Amino acid sequence: MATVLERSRLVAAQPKGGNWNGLWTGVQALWLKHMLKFVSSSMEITGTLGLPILWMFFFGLAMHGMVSQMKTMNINIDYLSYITPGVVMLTALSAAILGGSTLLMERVNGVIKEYMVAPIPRLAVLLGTMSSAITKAVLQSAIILALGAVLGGGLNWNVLAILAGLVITVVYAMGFVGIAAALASKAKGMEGYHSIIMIFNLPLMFTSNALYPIAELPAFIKVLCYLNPTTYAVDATRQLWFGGTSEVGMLIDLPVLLVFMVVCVWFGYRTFQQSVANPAS
Amino acid sequence: MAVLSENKAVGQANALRLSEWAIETSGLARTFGTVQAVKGVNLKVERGSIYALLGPNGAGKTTTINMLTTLIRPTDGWARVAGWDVVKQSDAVRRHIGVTFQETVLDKNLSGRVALDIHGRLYQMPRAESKARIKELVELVELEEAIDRPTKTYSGGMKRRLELVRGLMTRPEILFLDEPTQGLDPQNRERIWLYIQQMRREQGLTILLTTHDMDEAEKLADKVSIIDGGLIVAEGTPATLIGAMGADVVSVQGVAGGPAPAFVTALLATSFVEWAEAHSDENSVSVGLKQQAGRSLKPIVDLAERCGYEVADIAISRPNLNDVFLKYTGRRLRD
Repeated sequence: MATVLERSRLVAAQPKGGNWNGLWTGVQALWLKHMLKFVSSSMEITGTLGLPILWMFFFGLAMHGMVSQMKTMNINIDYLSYITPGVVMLTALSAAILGGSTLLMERVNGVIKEYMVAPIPRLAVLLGTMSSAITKAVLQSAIILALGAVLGGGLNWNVLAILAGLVITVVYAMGFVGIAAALASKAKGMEGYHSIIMIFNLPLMFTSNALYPIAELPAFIKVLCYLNPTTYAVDATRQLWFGGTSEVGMLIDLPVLLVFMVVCVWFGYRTFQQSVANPAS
Repeated sequence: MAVLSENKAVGQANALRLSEWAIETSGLARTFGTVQAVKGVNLKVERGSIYALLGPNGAGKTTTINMLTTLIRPTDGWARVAGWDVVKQSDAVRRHIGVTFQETVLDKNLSGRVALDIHGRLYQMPRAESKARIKELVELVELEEAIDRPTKTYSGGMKRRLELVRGLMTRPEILFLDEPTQGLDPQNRERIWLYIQQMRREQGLTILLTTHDMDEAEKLADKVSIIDGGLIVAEGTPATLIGAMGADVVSVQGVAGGPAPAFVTALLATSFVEWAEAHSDENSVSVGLKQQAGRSLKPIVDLAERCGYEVADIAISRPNLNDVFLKYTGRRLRD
């Protein structure tokens, strides 16, 4: 009897199906928790969607009329449709970085310790945070895309093209989730982290083709444009969603975005691993 | 054949596992940069007991708990929790412990039920079992009314109760409580003590708690370790630790600059003094007696006069853990 008892305890000591099972349960539990938190806090939703909606309504509608009369500007679609991909990327970027900050909040207030003493791999904490951040980014980007479709009316209703564009949004957002995870693993508090979001947000939009064609820009901004992953994400999705003329080309857009994603996620992973190894520092 | 080898493996694992101690450590140490937070702790905690690590803030209590709960790795020594090594078998350790941290770690927008449910999910608890367990635990700590409200609406005591049962959610063998009643009013504190005693009784738990509260250690613990400067300086049941202090303790309050060391030396030379210690920061001398204080007061005052130690006040007390702490660390334990 005693042996049977001890044996069942021994079995209980070993994770079912090895570490993969623990990883999967951990990611699921964290994803669920973060999504529940997201739904229960209107702050995060309005914080992310507020700015893009302002861009669409005020900047988009105001410029719409003016730009349509500027024959010299080489834009083949209406201006609202033209800026929608850029505003979608802005939304995805803010959502990804805010979603990544969940990790920082949980680190700062100690919630992360609950996960660290649970029988799940440390990696589950990172992947759980990343998956919830991506989910939030996609949901909110889709809302802005829908808004662009309604206001501009130029959306290409090919489901595959829409989905392909959303996949590109995910790849783009993943890169920033990686950066967010790295910052969240390093940052000492929330204040510094939020000033970084500000640094990312608008400058990345201004130094890209989100609001104007690259061809119209002075040389030094052009250089910044080509260094900015936003340019490639906008170029690809503008083509897919609205049939806009490509300035870079899908064959360059996609590899650049993939490399961006892989490098940033790896960077986030490395930094997170270091912070977990030395939780006191 | 496969069954045989499996049995052999189980047998070997059991041999490793069947340690008589719930927690056992040897030379457990942790250094942060140049700071030695824990300098070699040897602990043996009996199964089913409540064990208290008593010490001031910064003594190394939390660092010790963090090592035992696999949050951080020791830089030296080893520790076995529930029979498993905290470094090599950390996953098994995690499966058998529950932890309540010093600071409140609850998400304020989520309800108490969600907090417990997510905790169950992290441990792969089957859904039905998790539901039943939540019901049982919520009744235990009387949170039925509040359990579906966001935790931001909870009082400090309610949050503590919720965290206490979260640590119990997965039926751990060993529960770690880091300062379980810190910041609570006396009423809530006593309530938590009742729950802890009840939990031990009903669930056969081993509980390791840290505290800097003498009453808490004295009321709850079967065994107490006094930890100071990263080392355990005394260990025993509260009764033996206090019993070893002698019959009564007399505090002699002097005036500033009095010759306390000479007074202490003179006291130690008498037949009725068990121990004596000067506390220069308070201008006082504590005297542990072998006999009742009534018969010793006059000799003590006479002795003080002869040594030129001016007496401002005298107080007699039955020794308590505070005096034990004072004796071993030379300091008083303050909040």
